[in-house]
Amino acid sequence: MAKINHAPILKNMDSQFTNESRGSATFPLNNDFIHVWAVHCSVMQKQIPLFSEFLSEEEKIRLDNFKFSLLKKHFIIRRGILRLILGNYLEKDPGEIKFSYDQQGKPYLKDNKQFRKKSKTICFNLTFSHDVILYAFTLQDKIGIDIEYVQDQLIHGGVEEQFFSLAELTQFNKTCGKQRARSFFQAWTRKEAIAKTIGKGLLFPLEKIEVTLGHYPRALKIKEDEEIAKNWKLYNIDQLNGYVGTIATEGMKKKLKFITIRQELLSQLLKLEI
Amino acid sequence: MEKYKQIDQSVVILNNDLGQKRLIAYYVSHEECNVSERKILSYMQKQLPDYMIPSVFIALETLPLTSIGKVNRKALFGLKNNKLKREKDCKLARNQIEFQLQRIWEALLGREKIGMKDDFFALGGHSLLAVHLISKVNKTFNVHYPVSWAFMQNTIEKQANKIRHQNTRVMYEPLLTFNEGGSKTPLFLIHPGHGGAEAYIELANLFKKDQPLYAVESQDIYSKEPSSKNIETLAAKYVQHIQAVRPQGPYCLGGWSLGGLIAYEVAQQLSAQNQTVQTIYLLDTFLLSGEERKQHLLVSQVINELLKKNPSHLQLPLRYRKRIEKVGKLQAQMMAKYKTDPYPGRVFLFKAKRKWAISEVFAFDQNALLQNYMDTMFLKGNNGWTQCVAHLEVQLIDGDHQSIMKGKNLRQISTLLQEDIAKYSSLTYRESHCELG
Repeated sequence: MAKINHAPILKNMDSQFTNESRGSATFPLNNDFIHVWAVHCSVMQKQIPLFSEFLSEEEKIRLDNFKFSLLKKHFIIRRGILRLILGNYLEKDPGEIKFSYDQQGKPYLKDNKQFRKKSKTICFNLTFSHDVILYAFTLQDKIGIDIEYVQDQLIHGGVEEQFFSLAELTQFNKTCGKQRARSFFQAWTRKEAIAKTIGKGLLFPLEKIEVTLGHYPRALKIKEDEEIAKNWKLYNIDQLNGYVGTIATEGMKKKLKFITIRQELLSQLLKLEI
Repeated sequence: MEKYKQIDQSVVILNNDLGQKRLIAYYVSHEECNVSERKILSYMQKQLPDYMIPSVFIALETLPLTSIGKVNRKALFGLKNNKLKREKDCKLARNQIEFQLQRIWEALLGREKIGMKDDFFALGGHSLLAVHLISKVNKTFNVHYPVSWAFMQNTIEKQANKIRHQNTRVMYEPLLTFNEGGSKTPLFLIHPGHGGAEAYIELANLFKKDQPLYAVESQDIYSKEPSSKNIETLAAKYVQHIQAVRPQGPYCLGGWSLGGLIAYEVAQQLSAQNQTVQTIYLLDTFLLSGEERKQHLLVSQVINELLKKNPSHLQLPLRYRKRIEKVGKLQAQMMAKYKTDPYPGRVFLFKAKRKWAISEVFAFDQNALLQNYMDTMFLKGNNGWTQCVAHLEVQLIDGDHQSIMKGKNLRQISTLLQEDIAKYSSLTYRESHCELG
């Protein structure tokens, strides 16, 4: 297995990210920030053999359930990078990280006191669409993230009626052209991010999560309740061309730091001992 | 797993035997009678995500131990169990609902040959596609499932079972649509005797998507009081069902056994309307003489017993299966009465090469009748069609009356059938254009 240098390299890398970060440049994870890591699968192909060494037995079984090699590769990259990022926060080897799963199969850290500082828990969530994987990390608050590749062909057959409330439908029917597709995916990812934070995913009735359809992201009602909706903080993800996404948390407003993992950063994250 | 009250000890191991990684749960229970593995399964499903649930459960009296008292995993690996072999990939739809679901899944996921037990999300399905799936399922089957349904029912098999139970009153659909698209002449298969259009599911699985394919369902099996009096009036109704989707020819018609005879009458009626009938495909259909028809009336009940074993029958709800006997009798009477006019068009007969082998044991006199009938049928040249049909082509198929509708025999029929329709489709097209010119 590949050994990883334990030095918490993220601390010294602020300069790398200043051009990408949306907040001030502090690292590593603290109370004021949500870290969003973005990866393009197409540029990670060479790392697949290495990433597959990180996988646990459980993950290997799951890998086997995927029928097509493309899906297998994506899964390996998803888990490989997740382990790599967590490994850096926790100063551990990627392969040593242990996950537990809730009933919906959403992973969380088995021993969440692993985080060395202030015994705070790291919460995370991930999402993928088309070629992109996104990870959101934060301290304490539960978090949900959703990204969608904007495709017109996914908006047909009255599919919006399956998850829009009446009010949302009325508003949606007023949109047209490019705005229509954008509204559709903005609303969808807002709902999905909230549902993922709650932890039920799509088992939660999405039409009961009412959100804004325009640029400004906000939850309006959760199961008819406007007060509860006010606790939700939503953030747009619009840094990626052709994609629309949302991050959701309950609690205080935080700053977003957006990090794209490119080849250079990856090799620093890996810092292989030969 | 050990939290489940009936289970004392258990070990779950990862097996990689048949080229596929699977979790196998070995367990020991104090219960004398069998522990319901389904109950354990549903208990575990409440606690764990899908992929952590064992796919095979094996009950043991004791767990094998090593000399130091640990579970001997090697010994567990050695315990062969036929359950492992049973877990094969099930690629083919076994009923109309599975067939329709498979088409919906294939269109959404952009993949072919999706198995009945494949997980939607392991095939690349994501949440927004699941919403599309639900939207399509709700429309197709006239149901109202929430989006969460696709997450609970994540395989075609599970979804089909739920839909079937939802529609406890399975509606009579006069015409089943298997394939709609394509420019070739559409083929309409008429249900066989002693059963319904479910007999054609396996054949439909083998058809290419650019060959339009429909099956006419048995009206009598789905009505409380089966009432058809003769083949002519039955065929007239079926003509209406066919023309509801394809008002104009050309048509290809066909059917297995009695289905071929009804198709023959449907072709006569369509021709009388001046519609073009390209070919009639008879799947081991017999044209009986007066004497043979009397014989058939006598053995129809015994034949019913034989056909009941057909696996496609088992897909039908029980109350319809019960009705088959009555319908079979009615059909034998209709067949005895049917006056066969000569047919000027093209007929293609797939004839079973072998004599229908009877493995069942019947009473002595029944058996003698049946054997006699089978012999007569077997010796009938061209199944009796020569005198009535002007353009008859015959293809022998290696099997008996029943086994031609299965496995490699059916694959052969499917290939020949599709090639033949394709070949004549272009001819029919040219002819009708010449006439117009």
